[in-house]
Amino acid sequence: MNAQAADPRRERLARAVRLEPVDHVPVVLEGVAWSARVTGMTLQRFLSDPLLATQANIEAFNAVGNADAVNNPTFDASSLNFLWMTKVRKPGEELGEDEPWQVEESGLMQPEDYEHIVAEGWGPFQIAYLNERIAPGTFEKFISFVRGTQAVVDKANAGDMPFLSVGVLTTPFEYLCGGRSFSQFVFDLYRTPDKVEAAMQAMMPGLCDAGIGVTKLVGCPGIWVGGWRSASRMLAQPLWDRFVFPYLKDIVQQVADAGIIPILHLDSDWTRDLPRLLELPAKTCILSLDSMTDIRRAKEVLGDHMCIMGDVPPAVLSAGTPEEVYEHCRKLVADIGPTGYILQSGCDIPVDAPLENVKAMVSAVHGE
Amino acid sequence: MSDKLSSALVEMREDDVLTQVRVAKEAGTPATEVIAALQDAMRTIGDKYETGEYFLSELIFSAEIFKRALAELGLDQAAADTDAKATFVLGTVHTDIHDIGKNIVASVLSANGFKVIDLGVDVPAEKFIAAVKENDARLVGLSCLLTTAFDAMKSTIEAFDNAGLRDMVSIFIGGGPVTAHLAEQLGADGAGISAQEAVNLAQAAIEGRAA
Repeated sequence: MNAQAADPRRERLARAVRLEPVDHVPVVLEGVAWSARVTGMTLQRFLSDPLLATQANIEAFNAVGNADAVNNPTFDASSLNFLWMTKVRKPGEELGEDEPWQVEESGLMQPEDYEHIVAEGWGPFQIAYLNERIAPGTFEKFISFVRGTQAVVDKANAGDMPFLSVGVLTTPFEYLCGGRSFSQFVFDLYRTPDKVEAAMQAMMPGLCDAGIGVTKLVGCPGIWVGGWRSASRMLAQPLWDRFVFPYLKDIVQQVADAGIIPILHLDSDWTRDLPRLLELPAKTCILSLDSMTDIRRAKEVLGDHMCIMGDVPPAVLSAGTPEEVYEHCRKLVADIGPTGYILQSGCDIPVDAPLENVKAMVSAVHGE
Repeated sequence: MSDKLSSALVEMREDDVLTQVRVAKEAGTPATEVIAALQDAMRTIGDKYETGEYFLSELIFSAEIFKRALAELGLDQAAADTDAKATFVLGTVHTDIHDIGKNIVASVLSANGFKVIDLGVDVPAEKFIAAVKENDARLVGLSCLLTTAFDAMKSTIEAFDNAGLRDMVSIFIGGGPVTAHLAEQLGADGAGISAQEAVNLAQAAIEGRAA
């Protein structure tokens, strides 16, 4: 990153985050599985080596042309095991060699685990959980992936592909919700709120250390801070106020204090609680939306406070025509830009999105 | 009894609901009366969801309490289904294994008086058709999370056409990536991204009106 600080694409992104004027709205690609499909690499092969995944990202980035960066330069399925605390069906294993991986939310975590987390601490609990309930070696696979980050960064830099993030963080809510499965976890929030809260508090010390440490070590500008089941639309206000926002705010502050951009990857609908995001550090975060949150409302509420990224809907990218994609994106650029805005897909580019549709998205920022 | 019971469910007071149901049962109150009060509460909860006062957590926890209340009465879902408004065949389409959203829709539809035939995940078209025939169902819900499953949704709808059943059923699509526009493209009768929208679509279909 530092070696290429003068790169106009990186500077454009940095200015967008600081809400400063830009020559044009930057555009970022987030499509790990899509990059494999569009470059003719099977998803099984893509998952076999993080550097192959980076290669696919570079080739897809070049095939599209004129984008400013990718969100993540690589991917490994073990990161889903780690964040979701559950099994993942993978291409070439439980699925055909080119079928998209799918999280299997099977409720491996039990109600008594809240007390185990408090007693054992989150780190030891998570290591044992991943290796005993998901598959032996799951934790080591994830750590091996993390240890390969420098090689991924070197490859991305050599391929002249800027990227926003190499690390992933999320709140205690998401780990526990993935482990318990959504419905059971919601029942726990109503029936045993104090136990859940005690576990969440026990999880926080050190939760972000590795992600922040690796991000600083490799000189990456941002870190992905995810939220999906903890969205406003999922939860009654008192539950969100108690079990989501205090932890999200703490994590974002830790990331910002480390001089890293928190990329708030917030899936589903967070519209109700957009005003609360004013409590997060100003001109420091990227709010990445997936098309479920009202992005125009986000601009009204947060436009002077944080950069907004998104949110071309998956159905438009997947099933729309290039003309429809272009028109949709032009409206986004007009309504949410030009300052404090990064055009991107809502969450990942769908694996089956035609290349021409992604090119049309990129063209929209250039008015071509 | 009914107002107090309804209020307890609307306010998510699980223990209170179960106590009241137990007392009503011991007092010989007809089960149909108790169920009616609970379903009245579910309608109120649905209304509160629609107006943005309630959110998904209230929808699914109230459906859970409803299920436990039935058990307290010594009934299972099949007993409640006897007086169901209509039968709704539901499943995640072929190639997609995501089931959390689909399960929530099933439980909220059940608690709102619909009999649900849940076919699970990765469901081929012929299984949907067989379930519709077997249960004389008029409502079908196709769920997905992956955009790659849009093709399976389309071919499932086409299979109903080919089987000569399309005019006899209302077919709805649901899940994170679906839109009303996609429903039109695929030839479905409507789209929903929440459990309450599924209830509204189903209710409108049996009343012969647009949702």
